[in-house]
Amino acid sequence: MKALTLLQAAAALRSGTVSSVSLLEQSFAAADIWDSRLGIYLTRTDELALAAAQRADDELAAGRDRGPLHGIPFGVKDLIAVAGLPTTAQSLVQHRFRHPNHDAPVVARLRAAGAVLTGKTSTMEFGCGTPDPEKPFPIPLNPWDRTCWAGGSSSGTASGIATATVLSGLGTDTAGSIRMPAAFCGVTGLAPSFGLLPASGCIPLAPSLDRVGPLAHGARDCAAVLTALTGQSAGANDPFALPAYGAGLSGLRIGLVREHHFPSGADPALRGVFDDAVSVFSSLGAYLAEVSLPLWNEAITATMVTVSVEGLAHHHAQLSTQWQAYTRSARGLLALGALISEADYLQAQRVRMAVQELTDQLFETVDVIVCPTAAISAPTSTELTDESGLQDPKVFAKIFTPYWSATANPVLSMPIGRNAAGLPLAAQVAGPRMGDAVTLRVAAAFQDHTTWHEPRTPPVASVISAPGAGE
Amino acid sequence: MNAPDVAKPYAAVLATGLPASGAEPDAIAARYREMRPAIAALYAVLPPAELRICGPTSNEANTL
Repeated sequence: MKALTLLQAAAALRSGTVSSVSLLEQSFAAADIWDSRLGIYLTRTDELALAAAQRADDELAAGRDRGPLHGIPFGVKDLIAVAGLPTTAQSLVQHRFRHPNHDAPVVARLRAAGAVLTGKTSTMEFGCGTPDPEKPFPIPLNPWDRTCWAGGSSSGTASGIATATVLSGLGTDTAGSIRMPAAFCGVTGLAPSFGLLPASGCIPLAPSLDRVGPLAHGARDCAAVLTALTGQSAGANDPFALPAYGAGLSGLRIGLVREHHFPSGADPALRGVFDDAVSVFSSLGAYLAEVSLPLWNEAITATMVTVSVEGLAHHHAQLSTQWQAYTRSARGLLALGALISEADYLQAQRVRMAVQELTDQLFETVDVIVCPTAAISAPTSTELTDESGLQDPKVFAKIFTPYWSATANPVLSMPIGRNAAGLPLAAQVAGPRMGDAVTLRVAAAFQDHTTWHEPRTPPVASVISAPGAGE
Repeated sequence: MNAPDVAKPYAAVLATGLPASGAEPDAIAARYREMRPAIAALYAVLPPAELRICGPTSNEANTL
């Protein structure tokens, strides 16, 4: 069976060419191939999923249609509570919240919309840091090159979508944890406007930054998930309904940001790939203007200060007693928070407010802003840390997600091309506060006229002859 | 908590009460030292507002 996007699968379900159970069997087959090779899941829920898929099919047969997510396999990042299942945060430290007795609201809403949970997907420990081979957890690898990282921290959700193991899923984004793995795995991920979705039931990293959001193949798929996540229904009153397929962007103003985004060491293909994407926007009738993001360096610093200080506030007690249980890069990032003064933290929040004010002003002149998600494709797993075991700042400085974390704006990452090695390159589309609909609309219009987001078999499949085969 | 004495990185990290040991305190303090100029720059772009009874206002950006 050909790999499908969420909305293609939804249409196929209603035309009777597939069933929820057959979609799930396809997901199981993909998981059997990929999970052990890429570290997609921490927990698979095959039996529960099969029962849910059967219910979904029975309901559709009886004329009850819950909307586009009905019968669709989805994964949930293991920072998000699912009733009765372990929520490990991919950490040896996590005990208190291990078996929650209720779904996080975002999970409950997806289930109410008929989506079929297939399991809990891999992450970085507590949503931060980098993989640690000393710990007994999967190392999330990239479907396009297994020497490379899947990106983090919504790693398994992104690599699961790229391999048709799931058709959509949930991630969380504090400094880029939805957008970065989406970019590196070649799928689409949306960090919705801060506050649009409830973060309760999700293990926090930095509560003033944390967002929950959808990943899927395309922006139209993400819009369908966002509708369900906000408790809305598809149809006439859907706040995230998009224009018909193929609609242009006539009259829309797109701000393009190149400044800071093509540093020394950027992928040689990035400039051409980004220019090609700009040409697509131009051909769709959008008005294009080069813009500059205010307080670029300061916004990124403010985000990183906030992550460390708020993260430490959550973890201080456990760090004090279980230091060695944390991964080296996570505990280093959190411990930085103990060296940052209260005044510095508060100044970082003042700067965030200023950045928000200034970006609000910028969005009076443009409808959305487009810039590369990262200057690089997925780095190799060995490039992520320096000799001390902490995150290598030279690598992470080339990932541009933290700027938009400092603000409350919705921001989406989508694939826009590939580099010479065939690895995905991506762009961010940011909208005004609570402008999730226009953000999705611009990405959808781009994807209506390009194919980078469409399901395709990752090249590593060519070395695997059959499910369960050796390397 | 005051800004740590990063001239003594090992001691600065140990003073946090976190049980880092071996080479880690030096590595963490070194990372903080690298961040210091960027943190100092936060004050340069947005100087402390005049003393006021209320907190920062939505017009904070106008002080830029």
